[in-house]
Amino acid sequence: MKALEITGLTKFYGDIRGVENLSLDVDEGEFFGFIGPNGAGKSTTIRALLGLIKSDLGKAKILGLDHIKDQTEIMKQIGYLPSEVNLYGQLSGLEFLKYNARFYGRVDMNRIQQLADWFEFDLSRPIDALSFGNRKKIGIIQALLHSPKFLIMDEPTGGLDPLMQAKFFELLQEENRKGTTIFFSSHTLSEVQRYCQRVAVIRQGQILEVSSVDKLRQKQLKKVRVSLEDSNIKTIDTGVFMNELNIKGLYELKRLQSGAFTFDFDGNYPQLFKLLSEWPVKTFTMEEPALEEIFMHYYKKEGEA
Amino acid sequence: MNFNIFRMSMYQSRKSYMAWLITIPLLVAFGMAFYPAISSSLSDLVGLFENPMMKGILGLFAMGPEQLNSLPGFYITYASIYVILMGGIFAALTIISDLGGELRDKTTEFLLTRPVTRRTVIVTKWFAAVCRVFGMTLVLFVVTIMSFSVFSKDAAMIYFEEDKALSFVEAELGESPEKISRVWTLDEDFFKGWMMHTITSLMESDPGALEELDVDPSVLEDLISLLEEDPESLFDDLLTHPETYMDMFNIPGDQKDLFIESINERKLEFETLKKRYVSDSSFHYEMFTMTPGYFMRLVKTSDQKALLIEQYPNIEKEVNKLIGPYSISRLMVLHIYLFLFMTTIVSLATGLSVGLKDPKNISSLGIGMVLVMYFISTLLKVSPVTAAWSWISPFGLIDQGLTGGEYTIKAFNVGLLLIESLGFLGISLVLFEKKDL
Repeated sequence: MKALEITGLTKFYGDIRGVENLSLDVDEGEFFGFIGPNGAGKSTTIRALLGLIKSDLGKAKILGLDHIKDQTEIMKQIGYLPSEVNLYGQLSGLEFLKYNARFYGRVDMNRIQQLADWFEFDLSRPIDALSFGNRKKIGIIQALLHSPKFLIMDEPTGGLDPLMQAKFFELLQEENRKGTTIFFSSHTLSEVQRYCQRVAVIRQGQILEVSSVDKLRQKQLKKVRVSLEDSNIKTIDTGVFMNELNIKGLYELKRLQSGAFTFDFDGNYPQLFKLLSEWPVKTFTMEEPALEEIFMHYYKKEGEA
Repeated sequence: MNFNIFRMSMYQSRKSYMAWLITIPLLVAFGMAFYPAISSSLSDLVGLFENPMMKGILGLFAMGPEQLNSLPGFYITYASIYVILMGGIFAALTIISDLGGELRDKTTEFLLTRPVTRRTVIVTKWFAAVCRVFGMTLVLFVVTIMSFSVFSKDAAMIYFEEDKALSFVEAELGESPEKISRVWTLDEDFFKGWMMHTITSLMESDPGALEELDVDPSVLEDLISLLEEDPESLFDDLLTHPETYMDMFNIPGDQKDLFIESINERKLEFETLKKRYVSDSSFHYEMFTMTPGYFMRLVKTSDQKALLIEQYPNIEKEVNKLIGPYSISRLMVLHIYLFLFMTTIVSLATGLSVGLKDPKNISSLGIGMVLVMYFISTLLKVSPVTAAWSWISPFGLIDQGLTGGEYTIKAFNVGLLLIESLGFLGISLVLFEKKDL
C-alpha cells in the first residue's frame, strides 16, 4: 500500500496558482523529502491533502483512505507539523499536550515527558511565553505524541538551532526505522540529501522531478569564490585566467570589483584544484547556494530568463 | 459533539465567564436596590411622565408610572435596558472569543488536523456557548428572585390571570360573607368610596345624561365632591332649598313637588342602602358578586393579602396565583425567553465568526451587531405600525409583558427564536465546511 497517492491535484487562489495538476506517490516506510523554493506550492499541497483548504481538482489517498471522505480516520493515524505553529497561547505546554493526547485516547505522561526531555523542552511555561524555536519544538512533540504511522511535516527545521535539528532528525530516523513513513517539505537541499531516500522537486506549483537522493546528489552545485595574491593581480592576465577556468561544470564566472572571481561549480574537483594550483590563490571559499539559484540552474524552463 | 473540545472551551473561557457571571447579575441586584426609592417618590415622577417629550423617550423603554410602581414593572423597565442588552453582548462575545479566537489565532488548523470533523468542531463550540448562556440564565433567574424577595415587602400588589382565578375565590368567599367586610375593612368610610365608584362609573358609561342637564361643569364638580364628603347634608340641602337646585338644573317651577318627591325617593334609597351596608354582611356578598375584580384590587399590601389568606385558608394557592408583588412562574417565562434570545445571538455570532474573511476585528463587530439589533428593535417600538415588525430583531421577540394579563410562552416568539438559532447554526456549518483555512 502507498502511504500517499496524489493524482492531478489542482488549487487556485482566485487567479493565483497554488498547485496545478500535481501527482505524487510515497511508499509506506519511506523517508520522503518535498523540496522547492518559497512559494512553489509545498504548503498548498500539504494543506490541501489534509483538507485544510479545498482543492479544485484532483484526488488524494493517504494510507489508502480518501483524503476528504475518510478525514477523521486519517487524522487518527497521521501526525502533522505545520510550518507556522499556532497554538493556544494561554495554555502551558503540558496542558496543551494533554489536550492533544485526549483526541487519541488516554494521556501517556511518560511519552510526553520522554519527548520533552529529548528536546530539552520546559513543559510548565505558557505557550505565549515561548520563543519561535520552542514553539516549533512543541509542534514537533504534538505531531509525534500519538506515535502516528505517517508523519507529515511542513518545513520542520525552521527556527531550530543546528544542534536541535540534528536531534530532531535523529528522532525521525529512529521513528522511520520503526516503520513510520515520513514526508517533509524543505527548502534546504542539504538536509533533504542527508536524510531522505527519495525527493520530489516542486517549482511553480508543479513537480519537476521525483528522484532518488543519489541522483540528486550529483547535482551538487556550489558557489565558489577565489581571490588571487594582491601583489600579482596587476601582472596577471585575468583574461587568460578566466579563459583557463572555462572547464566542464563551471558556470557564471564573474570578476568582482574587488578583483575576486566567483562562479558556480558542480564539476570535477581534482580538475579544478589542479588548475588553481598553478595560480597564486590567496583565498578559496565554497558555499551552498540558495535553493532558488539551484533551481535557476537545473530546472530553468525554456523561454525563462 | 466532542467532549475534549467542550471541556477545553469551558476551561479557556472560565475567567471571562466568571467575570460576566458576576457582572450582569450584580447589575440586576444593583438596579433593584433603587426600587424602594423610586416607588416611594413615584408621585414626584408623575410630572416627568406628563412632559410629552420625556413621555416619548421613556416610552421607548416601555416606561410609565404604572410600570415603575410594581416590582416586575420596575424590573422589566430596567431589565429591558440593561440585562437583555448585556445578555446579548455576553452571548455574542462568549462564542466569538472561543470560535472567532481560534480562527483569528489560526488554532483551527490544529483542531482540524485532529480526528474530528469540521461539523463536530462547530457544534461542540456552539453547544459549549449555549451551556454558558444557560448557566448565565440560571444565575440571573436566581439573583432576580432573590432581589425580588428582598424588596417585595413594600411592593405594590399586581394581579395575575384574574379571569381564571376569580371564579373560585368568588365561590369560596360567598359562603362566609361577614368575612368579606373583615378582609376588605368595609366600614362607613369605605361605603362613601364605593358610592363614588358607583356614581362615577354610572356617569362614565352615560356622559350624554350629564350634558343634557346643561350644568356648569365647575358647579357639578362641587356637587360631586360634596356628595363624596357628606351625602346626607347634600340631601338635606336639596330638600331645604329646592329652588336653588331647580334653577341650576333648569327645572321649571311648576315641577317643584315632583322634584322634592324624587329627592326624597333617592334619599330613602340611599339610607336603606347605607343601613344594609353597615348591618347586613350578606349585602357585601351581593356587591362582591357584582364586581369581584374591584374588590380583589383593594388588596394593595402584603398585610392585606395575609389577612385574606388567614380568613380563607382554603384558597391560599389561588390567591397566590392571583395576587402578589411578583410571580415566579412569570419570571421563569421571561428567563426562558432570555435563554432562547441569547442562544439565537450565539448562533448569529457563530455565523459571523465563520463567515468573516478577516477575523481581526471580530469582537467589535460582534458587539456592533448586537447594538444595531437593539437599536432597530428600539426604533420599531416607536409607533404601533412599525411595532408589528419588531420580530425582525431578536430583541423584539423577547416578550416583556411581565405585568400584563396573559403572560405565557408564545408559540410565534419561541418558534421564531428556535428557527433562527438552528438556522444560523446550519448556515455556520455550511460556511465552515467550505472555508479555506
